[in-house]
Amino acid sequence: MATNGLAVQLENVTKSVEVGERHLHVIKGITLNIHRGEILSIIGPSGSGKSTLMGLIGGLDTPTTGRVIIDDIDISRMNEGRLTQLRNEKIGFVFQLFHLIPTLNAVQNVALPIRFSTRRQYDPTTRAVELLALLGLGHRLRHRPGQLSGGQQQRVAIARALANDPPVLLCDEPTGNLDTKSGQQVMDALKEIRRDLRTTVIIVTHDSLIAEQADRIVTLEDGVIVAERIISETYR
Amino acid sequence: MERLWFYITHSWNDLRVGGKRTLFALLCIAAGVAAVVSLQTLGAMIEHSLTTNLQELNRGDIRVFPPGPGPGRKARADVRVDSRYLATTGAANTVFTESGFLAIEQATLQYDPDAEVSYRFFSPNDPIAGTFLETEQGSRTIFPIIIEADYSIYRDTLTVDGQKVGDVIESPTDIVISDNAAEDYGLSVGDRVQLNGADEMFTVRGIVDREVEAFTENFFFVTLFGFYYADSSVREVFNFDSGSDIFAAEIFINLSDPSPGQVSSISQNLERRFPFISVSTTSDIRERNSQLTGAVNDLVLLMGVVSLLIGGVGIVNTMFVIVTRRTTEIAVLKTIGLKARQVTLLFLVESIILGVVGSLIGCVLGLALAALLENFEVWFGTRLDWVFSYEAVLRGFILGVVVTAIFGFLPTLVAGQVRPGNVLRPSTTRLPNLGILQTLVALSVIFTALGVIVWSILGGTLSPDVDSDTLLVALDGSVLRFGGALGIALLLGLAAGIGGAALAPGLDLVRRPPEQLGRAGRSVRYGLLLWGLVVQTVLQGVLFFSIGIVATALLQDKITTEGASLSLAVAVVLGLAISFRTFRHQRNIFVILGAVLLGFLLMLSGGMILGTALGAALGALLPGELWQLAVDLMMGIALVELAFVAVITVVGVLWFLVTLTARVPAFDIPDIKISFRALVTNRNRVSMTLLALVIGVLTLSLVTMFADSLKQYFALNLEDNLGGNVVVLTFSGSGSEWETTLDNLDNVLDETDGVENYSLVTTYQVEFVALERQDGSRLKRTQLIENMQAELPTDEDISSFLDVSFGSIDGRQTDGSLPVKEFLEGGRQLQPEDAGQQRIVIRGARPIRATGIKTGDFLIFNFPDPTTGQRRQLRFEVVGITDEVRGELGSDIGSFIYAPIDSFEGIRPEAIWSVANVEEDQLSEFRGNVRQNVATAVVLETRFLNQIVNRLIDQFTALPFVVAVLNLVTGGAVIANSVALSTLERRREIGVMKSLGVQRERVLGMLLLENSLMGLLAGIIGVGFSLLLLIQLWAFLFNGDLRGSIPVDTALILMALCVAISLLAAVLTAWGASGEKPLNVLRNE
Ligand SMILES: Nc1ncnc2c1ncn2[C@@H]1O[C@H](COP(=O)(O)OP(=O)(O)O)[C@@H](O)[C@H]1O
Ligand SMILES: [Mg+2]
Repeated sequence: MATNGLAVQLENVTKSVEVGERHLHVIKGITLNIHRGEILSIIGPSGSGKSTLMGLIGGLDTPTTGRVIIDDIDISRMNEGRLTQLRNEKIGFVFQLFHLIPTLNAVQNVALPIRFSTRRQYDPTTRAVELLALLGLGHRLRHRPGQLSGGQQQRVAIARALANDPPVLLCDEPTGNLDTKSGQQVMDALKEIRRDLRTTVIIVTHDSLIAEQADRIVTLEDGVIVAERIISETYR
Repeated sequence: MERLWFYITHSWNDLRVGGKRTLFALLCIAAGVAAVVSLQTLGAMIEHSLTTNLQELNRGDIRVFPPGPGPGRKARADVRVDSRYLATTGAANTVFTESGFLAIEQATLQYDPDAEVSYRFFSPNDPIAGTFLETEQGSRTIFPIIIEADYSIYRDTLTVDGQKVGDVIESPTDIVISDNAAEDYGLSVGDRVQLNGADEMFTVRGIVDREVEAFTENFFFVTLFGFYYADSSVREVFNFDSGSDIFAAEIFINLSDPSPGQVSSISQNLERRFPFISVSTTSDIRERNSQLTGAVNDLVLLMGVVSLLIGGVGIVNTMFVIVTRRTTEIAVLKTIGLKARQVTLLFLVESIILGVVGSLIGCVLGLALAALLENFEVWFGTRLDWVFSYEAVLRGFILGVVVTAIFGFLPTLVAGQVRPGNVLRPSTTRLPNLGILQTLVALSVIFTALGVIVWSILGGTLSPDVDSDTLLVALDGSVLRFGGALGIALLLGLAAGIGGAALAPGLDLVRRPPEQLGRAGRSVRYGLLLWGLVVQTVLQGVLFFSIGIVATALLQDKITTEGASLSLAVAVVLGLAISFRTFRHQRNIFVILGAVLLGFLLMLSGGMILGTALGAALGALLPGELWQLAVDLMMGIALVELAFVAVITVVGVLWFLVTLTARVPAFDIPDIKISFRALVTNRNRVSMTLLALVIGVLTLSLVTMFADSLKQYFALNLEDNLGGNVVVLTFSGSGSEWETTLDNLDNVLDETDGVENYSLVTTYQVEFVALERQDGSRLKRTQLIENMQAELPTDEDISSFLDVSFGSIDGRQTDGSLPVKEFLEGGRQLQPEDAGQQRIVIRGARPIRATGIKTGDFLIFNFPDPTTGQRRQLRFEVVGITDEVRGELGSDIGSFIYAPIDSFEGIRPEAIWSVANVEEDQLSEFRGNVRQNVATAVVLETRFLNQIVNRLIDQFTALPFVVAVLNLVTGGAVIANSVALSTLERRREIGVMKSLGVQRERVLGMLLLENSLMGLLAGIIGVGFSLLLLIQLWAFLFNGDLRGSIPVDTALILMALCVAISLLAAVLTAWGASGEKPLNVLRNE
């Protein structure tokens, strides 16, 4: 548990990638603290580096320079094995395209991260059923992703992200593929989770209606933070 | 456990959802496994036939042979031939006389009063009487087996309609024929037939399966011509009496107590009492046959494994596609906490499931195929009993699963390396590269696993015996101490991995532009570039050179020095031109090539150097047995590596050829352009797929074209070498009858219309006495054999070759009709002025030359006269030795030695025959004339001889042919798989095309065009390669003179077959794809 109340700390983080023969500077020095239980929206034009940043926070990638600290643990120089464990225990991911495993049903999808956890806290199936019920999917437990609507799939994805009770939930355009109504349902679910579990939620979005429901909005442009607006102080 | 269950259910679901992709991948494995199972079952069937009913195979517990050529028999020249017991027939052969038979029978009855003793022979009195069946089309060979019909083993042999042979043969003119003879000559029970040498007609009383005689040493005659059984009383029917006392060729003994101890003690006693005999007992046969079947089984299994490995290509393709399509899913799995090795395991489980299911299907298919093979009569036209070989099925299954796992290993390792970050950019599906360590591990594992498979098949057959202090031939032909061998093999595995891994940084170097490299990097890059350029130019040069040679050979029917040098010049120019063009456009290709080649160089040389050092050390440390095992095992690995290098080289060549295809003008037709582009963009997979098809076509075309060209060659050469289209054989009879026969034959040939020319030949059976040098020194048989053994280090029985070739002399007319030949130094053909002179010409086959005989030497022979028992000695001067080293496949008939026909001082020849050229439409009249005037004559046509040669070639190539077809079928499965994969992958592209208004037919047309191009390419390459290989062989065998023996038709048919196979595969899979709805473009998978 973070002693200073910070779930995520970014210290002067940069990231450059090789595209063909050129070096592309995607993130050009970002410093950002995110509090425990906070909902943070990241907005910005396409290609500004939002997803890349999410990847750095979630341990999908390591920064070129700077430090990324999750729950007081510096993950910037971790090897792949420890990053995997970190992702399993400390991070939950939700994607625009849901990315559920098409051959598994809702319960199996949700149970998956628990099955592959090295420090297992829950019984996979029981936990999966609980979480799905929490997200209002108690009647869709044995359905495959193909048999669910977009909004339902995204809620299954959220349940999967929460399976190991991670302190941080990363959502990359979670409503991007949904209609307004389903999008709002998903957003409501995220808020409920933050309230019940005190999970830190970071949402990348294009939708200003969604962004406005966060505690804070950060605007990214060309790899740097160009604006920051605090909406609610509750979780600071 | 729980996770494993997840892996299994998940993989199973994925495969189920995979549909066609899964189906064709299964087909690849199934085809390979089916090949293994069916061939192994065939092996078991052969083994069964050879090792059961040994007593029947041996025709008794003990079989007794007189001296003569053949395995296990004593050479006639090595024993004292007692004319009471033995009579001589043929050059080096003897048979038992009646008193010989009685003596052995009596001796046997002393040891076992209840024993049954019988005998058989193969022709009554005269070497050719009863060996030809007279038919409408002339004389046809049939193999006589003359038995005592009441000898228990023959008596109880059943005919095809269930009667006993002993019951149906009642009179001397009753015969029982084999089913193949019945088929060939259209005979059935009750038919009356004429056999040469007898006036009376014979009656067919029954038909037996050829199998009852097929598994004996008479194998060839039996399966080639068919045979008949007659009772020994048939002697009376044949109207010859040469005055000799020929009685039995073999003696059979059936003991009252067939226990091994009794059998061996009696057979040893017999051998002691009759030192000239050799015996074969049931246990001898068991041992000999199990050696034979062991070898056959290994060979057959190895051939099956090649099929399986071809199928493995399909597995690699499929697993790579599965992994590529699921990169996003893998990334997701990684974001939720699956480790790299867990992902690898997941996909490995998937490929193993593929392997298990595919192998199961393959086992079923294989058994079905084996049942089919049974009817196709693969094994020299013999029928085999169906045997369910539990071992074959198990082996096929295990091999299938293991090979799938091995081939799936690399793709699954790649799967483990997918970056989790991919999930944020789902549209990028580029597969990650393996790091050095992974490559090292992967290659080492693959090599070791395959090495173990090869070892499990071959065992220690190929590796050296560590106890013997022999030297070993290493990879490059240089010779190393055996200590090095182990090390080479052991470290080759590792070095192969290192070499392969060396590619990774090499390739990395290639991907970066030169500006970004440091000084060192740049120079390495240039080094690689240069190296690649040189090798590539040389490769192309060789390729074009070979193509040039084939082309000129086709045009001129001959490989000449001019043609070869012209091709070389063209090849060099073309090779340079293409290299130069490619160099200007795609420099990187050369760098890659250079890197790859460097990797291999490292792999081979590093392995050798390290290996020698370590091997020497280990050799001293390990205890003998363990060491032998290690050496055997490592030999397997070394073999796999060699194969791997070969395969990579071929894939490399294919890759370049596919690239070159893009340069072929497309005439601005968009469909062709698109097809070409599709081939080139997917060239990695296309070249892998081509490899599979090419191996299939290559083996098939090697077998069929080799057989075809041999047939054509023989057809063309037979008449030339014989000097005519008809051969007339007669038996000379006894006393002075032979002179009449010779005169009569001469007259008939002279007077019959349509005989364009002819030559008469007489054949004498002789005993070789000595070779006399010009300086008067004499060499005896044993000295000649020593010379041969020194010159030709082989295990084969050279002495019987000498006995046969120095055992008969032909008398030939010297009127200028003798063929023009090349002679060794100082030699010449017989001339008209040699008439009456004792001068001979010898056919200089390699073993004959090895005796050290020279032109100008003298050969001394004894001419025995069987009627009087007297010997006449004649001394001949050697005037010429022909140069036959390159013409050993020639179809000369007659003895190895010939002299002027009138130089034998009136001695009676054993046989009189003639070669004539007779006009086709006069043939039947000619036959009639000959038979009227020369009672004992048999008229053979070269057409018929050709048929025999063709049949022999067919039988020899039957098994390889089946294997090649299986390979091709597997190749076809791989193609189908590849087409299915590429169309699946291109659904989006197809959808786009259709949304742009391209019609279904046109889309289908493009897919088909693309695949027929691929098939054509495979056909050209496969058939082309085998032409290249064969041309070298032909040029060597036939001394550059091809004489139209290149089977152009077969080549074209094979290429068409290749196109047909890939078209079929394409049609099967592409129809659905071409129907893709344009809407699908919009949907995300
Ligand atoms: N691994 C990568 N390979 C190629 N380009 C990348 C990679 N990572 C990021 N980029 C590039 O960096 C930029 C930012 O990408 P991204 O973070 O996906 O932006 P956003 O999510 O804000 O749209 C884009 O131009 C993208 O093409
Ligand atoms: Mg994005």
